[in-house]
Amino acid sequence: MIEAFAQVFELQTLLLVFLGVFLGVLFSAIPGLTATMGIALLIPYTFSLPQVPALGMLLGIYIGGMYGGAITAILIRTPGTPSAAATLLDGYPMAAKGQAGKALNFATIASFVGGIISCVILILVAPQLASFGLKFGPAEFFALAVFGLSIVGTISGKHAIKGMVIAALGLLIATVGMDPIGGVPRFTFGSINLTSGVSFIPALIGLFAVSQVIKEVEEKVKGSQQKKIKFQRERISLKEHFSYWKDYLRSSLIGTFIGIIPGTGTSIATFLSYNESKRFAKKERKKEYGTGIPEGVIASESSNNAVTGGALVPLLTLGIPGDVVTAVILGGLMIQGVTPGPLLFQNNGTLVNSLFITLIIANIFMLLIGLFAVRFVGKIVDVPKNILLPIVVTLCFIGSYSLSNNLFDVWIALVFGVIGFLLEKFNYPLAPLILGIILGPIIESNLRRTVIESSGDLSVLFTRPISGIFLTIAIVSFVFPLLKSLWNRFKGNEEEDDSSLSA
Amino acid sequence: MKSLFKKLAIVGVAAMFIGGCSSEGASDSEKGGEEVSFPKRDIEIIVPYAPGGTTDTASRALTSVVSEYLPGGYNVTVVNKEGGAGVIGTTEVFNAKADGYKIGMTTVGPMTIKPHTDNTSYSPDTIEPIMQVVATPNVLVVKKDAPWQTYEEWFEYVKANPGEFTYSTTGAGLTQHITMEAFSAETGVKLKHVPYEGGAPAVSALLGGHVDGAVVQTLEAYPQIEAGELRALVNTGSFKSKGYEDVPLLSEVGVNVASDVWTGLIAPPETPKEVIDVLHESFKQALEDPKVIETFEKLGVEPLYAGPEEFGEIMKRDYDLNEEVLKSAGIIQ
Repeated sequence: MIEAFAQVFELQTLLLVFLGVFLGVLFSAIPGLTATMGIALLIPYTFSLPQVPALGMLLGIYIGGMYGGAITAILIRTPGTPSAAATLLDGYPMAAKGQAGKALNFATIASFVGGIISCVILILVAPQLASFGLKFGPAEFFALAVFGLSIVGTISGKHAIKGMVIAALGLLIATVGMDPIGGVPRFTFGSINLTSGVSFIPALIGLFAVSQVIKEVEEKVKGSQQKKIKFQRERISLKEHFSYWKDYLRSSLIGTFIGIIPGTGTSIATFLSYNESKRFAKKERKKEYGTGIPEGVIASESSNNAVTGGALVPLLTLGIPGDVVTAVILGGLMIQGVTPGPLLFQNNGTLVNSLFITLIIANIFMLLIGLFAVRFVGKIVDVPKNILLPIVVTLCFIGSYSLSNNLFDVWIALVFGVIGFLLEKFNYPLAPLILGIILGPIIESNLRRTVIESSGDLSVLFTRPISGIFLTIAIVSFVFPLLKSLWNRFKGNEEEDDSSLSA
Repeated sequence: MKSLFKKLAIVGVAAMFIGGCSSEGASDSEKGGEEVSFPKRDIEIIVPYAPGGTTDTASRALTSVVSEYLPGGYNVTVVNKEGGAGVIGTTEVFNAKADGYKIGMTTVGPMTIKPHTDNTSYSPDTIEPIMQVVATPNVLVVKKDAPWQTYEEWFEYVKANPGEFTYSTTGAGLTQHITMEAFSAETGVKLKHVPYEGGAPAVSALLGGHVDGAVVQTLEAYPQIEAGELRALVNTGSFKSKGYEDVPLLSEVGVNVASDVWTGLIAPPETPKEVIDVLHESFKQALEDPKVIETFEKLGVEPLYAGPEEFGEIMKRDYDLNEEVLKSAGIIQ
């Protein structure tokens, strides 16, 4: 253990971890650059470094990369990474109310708390938890994703029915591309560009950022510009943070849990956590989700950083990467001669301890960088719209292009920008579309795998305990509000009907 | 009719002549005469996958040293153009100017499988091979507590219980899947295929007991085999990779099936032979560079060199074989 401390507390290691976190924040804040890309591009430079500094830098990017997306999501409604998509549900409305500083502050603290809690869980019980993640087979993934879909009501605000229509559209968009089981292209209209589906990040950038620009231009033309908002730095007392302790804790645990299951992904963690936050909120507070309240930001940001510690459980103990970022980190580990897997903890205990200490330090660096950055980046909201909007548009299109150096993705961003603009104009919520696109492939491929493995017997979905529980909760939370609304209508109390669906 | 052909032939020859002249004019700006004056600027390698995969990391390892071996010391940069399971990037190379400044990495999937299923604009017949860089065999693995200790025991079981044995793979229509379809066609044994999205999910499905076996690349199963969690029954490739010396090849147990997952360098069609020679020579030396060998070893991939002619033959052989298997499996008509 002392040896591990000595390895980490070297100037070179600390500097590289700091650099990693900084680059991670930067890469994920800028649309079109991702932490995954950052890690992949830096791996060749780690060839010549010793183990601990090299891996420290990569883990630093990973951790910083979970946080940076929040900055652009809150300030300019452009989620730099998919994991920040849920952050803008309440983050951007907060900024629009003039509370950008507050929102960023909550996002920073939430990311730190999520990161640390998940690290502690990783350090204490990693080997014991690993086997739990493996219990998730096709049936369980299907059930979890269906449960994820049941939160459509929560993220649709006052328009639950419209939200369902949009979620269905999202599921439909998700079917474009290669059939995951049969291996044949679907709805690609002969275009090679569509064989791997509608590119997700360009669609995300289009839906939220490009559409927002179109909206603001429209407002300018119509002259219905809202009043000028000035950025204020708001200090949040520790007491105020503590008043949300349940939200911090719950979201961190959800994030860690989702992280441990290989193949689920950060976006799911953030949306589920947002949903649970609303579920446990007081009745009168529930209505305010989506209008810009700290709980929404905390839910999303705590959970996405908590995924880091969770996702390292299967990576380090089993050698199984749960998503693209951890797959790239696995490559980085192998280059350093480290083979993660069951033997790592036995044969290389010192290194494991060093990695654990590095993770904690990376989280502390992230907190410092975040708190420092909040002072400056928040000023973006003070930039006049006629200067800011062209910059945002440029960033959106360059970002969409640079993801895979493909001009087609720029068209996707543009088309989804128009779709997003039109949907919002007619009061259709956008978040369910994202949810549908994320969950569609998981639902489809795992349902079909379940059917193959059980030779067509669908009852396994309910007889397997984990999947049975998730499906039951999903059905109850879907049907119960409908029944309640019908009952209210039956009693002649029509006030609540549409909005109660979202409970 | 005959005169039409004649006309076409004349037009064709004329076009070739003009084409030849213009490309000559472009590459010979400073009268080099007989000498090959390639390269005169930096070269770009299109990697048809996202940063971070084996193909990408291997390419970056090569490009980090190749400028030492290129005449003039020009740099080679990697450009990732992912999507369409490698088809988008490979198409880009196919359509590039045939001057050697934009070449590409490709793998068995986009080169020998996708042309059958996706109607690509290129095929192994129309692309210019430079060299094979890496090859990895696949293995059939089962859990440590599975009842089968050897391939023979397993084969007895699957023969007696058709359609019972489920196995996961890296994805539908990929080498792993096609190899097993070829195995079924060859032996008449019926297995149940469950495709996943990548090698890691396929292995975790096996570890979690959701399938009976998995067919994945050797490096994807290695940490688990080393730890004794998984057991390799048979190698479906053409050679034995490190750490798998004891695992028999399918060809050694009497089944005539062998396919590897290879990665190689390609150039656009009709790239001049002199240019191909320069590229081939430089990259061959880079592949033998101790730094590259060390990186490959850590990644668990094995450099497997094959020259332009041999690599072209490998591509064509796999291309024809895959067509046959895809047809008999009913994936294409």
